[in-house]
Amino acid sequence: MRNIYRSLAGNALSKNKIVYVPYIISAIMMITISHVILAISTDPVIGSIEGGDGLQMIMSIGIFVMYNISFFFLFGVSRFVIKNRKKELGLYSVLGMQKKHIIRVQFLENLAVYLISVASGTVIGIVLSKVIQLGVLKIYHAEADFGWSIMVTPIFANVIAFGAFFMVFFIINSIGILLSNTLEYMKEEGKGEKRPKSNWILAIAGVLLLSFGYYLSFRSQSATKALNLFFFAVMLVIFGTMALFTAGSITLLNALKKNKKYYYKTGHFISVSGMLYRMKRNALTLATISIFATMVLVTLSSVMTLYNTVSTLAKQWYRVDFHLVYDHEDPQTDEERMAKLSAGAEKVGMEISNMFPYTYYNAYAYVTDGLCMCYPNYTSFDACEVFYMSMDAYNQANGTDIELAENEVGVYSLEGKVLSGEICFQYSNAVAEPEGELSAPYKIVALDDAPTLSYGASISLTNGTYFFVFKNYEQLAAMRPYICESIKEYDDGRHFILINSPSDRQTQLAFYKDLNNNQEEYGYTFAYSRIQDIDEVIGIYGGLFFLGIFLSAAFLTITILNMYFSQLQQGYEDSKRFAIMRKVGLTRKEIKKSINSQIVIVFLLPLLVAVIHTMAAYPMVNRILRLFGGCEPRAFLLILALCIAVFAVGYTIAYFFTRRTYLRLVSGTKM
Amino acid sequence: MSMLEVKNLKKIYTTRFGGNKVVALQNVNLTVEKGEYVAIMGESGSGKTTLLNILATLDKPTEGEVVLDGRKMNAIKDKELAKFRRERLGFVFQEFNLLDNFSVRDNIYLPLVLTGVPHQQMQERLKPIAEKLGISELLEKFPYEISGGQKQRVAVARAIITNPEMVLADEPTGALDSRSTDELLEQFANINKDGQTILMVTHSVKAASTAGRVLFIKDGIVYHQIYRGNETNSEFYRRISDSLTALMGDGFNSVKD
Ligand SMILES: Nc1ncnc2c1ncn2[C@@H]1O[C@H](COP(=O)(O)OP(=O)(O)OP(=O)(O)O)[C@@H](O)[C@H]1O
Ligand SMILES: [Mg+2]
Repeated sequence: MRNIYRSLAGNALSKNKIVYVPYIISAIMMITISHVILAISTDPVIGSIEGGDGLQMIMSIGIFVMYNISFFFLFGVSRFVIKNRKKELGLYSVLGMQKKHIIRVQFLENLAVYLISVASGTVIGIVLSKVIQLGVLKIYHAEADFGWSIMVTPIFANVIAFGAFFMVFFIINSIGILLSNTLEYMKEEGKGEKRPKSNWILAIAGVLLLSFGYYLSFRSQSATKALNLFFFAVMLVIFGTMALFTAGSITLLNALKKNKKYYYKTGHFISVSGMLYRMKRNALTLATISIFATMVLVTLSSVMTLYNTVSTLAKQWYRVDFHLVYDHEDPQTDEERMAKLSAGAEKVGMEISNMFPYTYYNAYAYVTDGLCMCYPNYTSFDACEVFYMSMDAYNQANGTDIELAENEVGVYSLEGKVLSGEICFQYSNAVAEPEGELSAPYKIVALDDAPTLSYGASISLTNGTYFFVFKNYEQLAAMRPYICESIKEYDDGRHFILINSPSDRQTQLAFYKDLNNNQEEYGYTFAYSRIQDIDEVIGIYGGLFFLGIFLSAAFLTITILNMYFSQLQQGYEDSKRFAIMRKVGLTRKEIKKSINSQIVIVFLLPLLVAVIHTMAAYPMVNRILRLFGGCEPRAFLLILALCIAVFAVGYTIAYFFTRRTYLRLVSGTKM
Repeated sequence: MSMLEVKNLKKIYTTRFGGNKVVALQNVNLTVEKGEYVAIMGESGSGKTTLLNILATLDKPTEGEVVLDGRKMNAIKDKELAKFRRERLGFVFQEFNLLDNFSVRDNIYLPLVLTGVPHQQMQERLKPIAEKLGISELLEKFPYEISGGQKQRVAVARAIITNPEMVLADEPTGALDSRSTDELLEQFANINKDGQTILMVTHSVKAASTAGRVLFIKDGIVYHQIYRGNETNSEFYRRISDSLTALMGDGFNSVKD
């Protein structure tokens, strides 16, 4: 008896290839992706490199997302598989098989799918994660280890997690079998669907939600407001999209159907009623795909933009290799400080190409045309961060020789904002009622280059960053009353020593280590190394970047498989319908045309909606990105276009592939 | 000129894996004049549906030719065939073939929509037919919401709404009770009176007795036919019964209601 079940199960797998093969393939992909994510997040080799822990932390969030997606996606597919087999299962039961026997056959089938996919997924995952490990090591300039050390954690985690998933699917499907009666089973496949009903309220709600979400994006003024409202806007758009796809599409189609003159035309008649059922069945899938696709596009382009801007910005900001900050209480003179640093560099064998002191003031201010008003503590994100320095220091650090008159001020905005004409400076304790004295007006001279001024990556939660450069140190000192109250720390501005070195990264890192170990001796408060910080930035953003690309690829795959399955299912049912239409007198060409237009709509709709959503999200995302190191709008747009293009290409390939399968299914029956 | 001419028609089904060949029709010759009402009888599996499918251009014969209204069917392209089918033929299928995503009304309208008839005209045509067939109440329902007999009447309505020159009906009374059968047969008689040609496959002697001629098929051959001449329905009924018993043997279980 046992053998019979086994052969029944095996038989089912090979007979239902058209549904089982994609099912197994999707399971394998999910397991592979999960394996890779797990492997990266637990790999000791990656963990040991600089910045690797950042990547691992991000990846461990990724596995959570991945398991969620895997569960819901595979669950959907398993339902689909069962649905297609109900008739066969019903027949077994008519022929005298008990429900418990059917469940046993089910169990064996599930077990087979599970074993096949876990085995293959793990093997592919191991190979892939090794390749990725080498890639990551390369990004992080670490030594690659070509040995094969197979990690057991990912294998264990996947075996357990996916085992649990398949168990849950099996239990849910078994309950379904136990609850249904035989006749229902036999009917299930050919059962007529309920008529799709219009729902004006939900449709209008969808339009309103979506418009409000869009409005929030377009009207978002400041970066912080954008950040606060972003999640809310995303929710609005998600619910709006769902409502529009489900209720909106059906209401629209029903309205078209009500218009008799329109509806009873050859092309419209078949397409409208075809689309009606197609949308009823697929609306939620399509909405999900649109939302997924939007997320992929927004995330991918943001992450790429961030990576791009941050890495260029980091390099741009760090035009000196070392940067030491000294407190005003440090008694040493600049000469004493530099002597110690030279000695330290020599100790580790690092050459110094140049080394110089530097001073600036730093405050928060409202900057508008004609006025820069500083105030004591920044409580609002609407403030800009402003820096005041002298032209001498600027020239020395940047290697330029710009000259300014006494009534001129050099201005540089990190975000590329343009100030023109004249500007006055003022200090005020209260923003609403300016009270301080107004400085004489200064003529604005735009600077082409950011001043060399580096202390960490420029991740500042402000509304912008400005640099004001005055003729010389005396002039800068005279500006003090317009910048701050007599706060002790700022009395003499802040003092820095900047160092440039031609030595290699190893030596520079050694010097940085020496600086860290002997802080007391050197007397500084903070020390920064360009190489160290860039590594860190690349570690964080590189991890994000990597995860973004990886998850996007996973999303794209899932989207495509999802589409494939929904069309496959549709194909089964449509084949019967089209055979009938053909008998009634529809030409093959007309049928093909109708099929094509319907599939194109079903395919194109999510892509189109995703692109529109992304475009609508652009203003908001752009503002938010500025918070995290700013971004060049043009670069963002370009990357966005690139992402859309890549996505569209993948999607189009999937479309042709699916259409082929669909047409084969539909024309498989005698037409 | 005759409406339909069938010469040396042969149909051999080959099962998918090559092996078994089923000879469904062998050497069928048949002529049907315009305005004739022909019933086709024969035991199950004798090839009636196969013949009708070939006449309706839904299937291609293995050998032989079909001339419909003076045109050789095997020389016509798919596109023209479809057009020909929807404009000039009405087909009532044995298994109804209604579309489950269209309402009853839209199912009946389907061939009209395909030919591009204005909506106003569709309504005008449907009204009397629906009344005659007793399906006026069902028009807004969907096929899965109505009974087998009702489906059959809907299928008939769909076949005759285009006023086809020839109606091909495969057991159109198979799922009907005797009252509905009578109404349907009356409907067929009426449209036949208006000059439409009817070919009807049936197992019911009663249904056959309303026709002008009865063909008997056995093992893929038309091997007997009787004409009504001037007989009444009941006289013709008796003659068909006798022929059936004589020709098919007692084993043939026709419906002699
Ligand atoms: N598509 C097919 N492939 C193979 N054999 C077929 C096919 N269709 C019909 N046959 C065979 O051809 C023969 C004639 O079938 P047909 O459907 O014409 O019978 P019928 O006279 O309509 O019977 P019934 O009164 O039961 O409807 C039968 O033996 C049948 O098994
Ligand atoms: Mg038949």
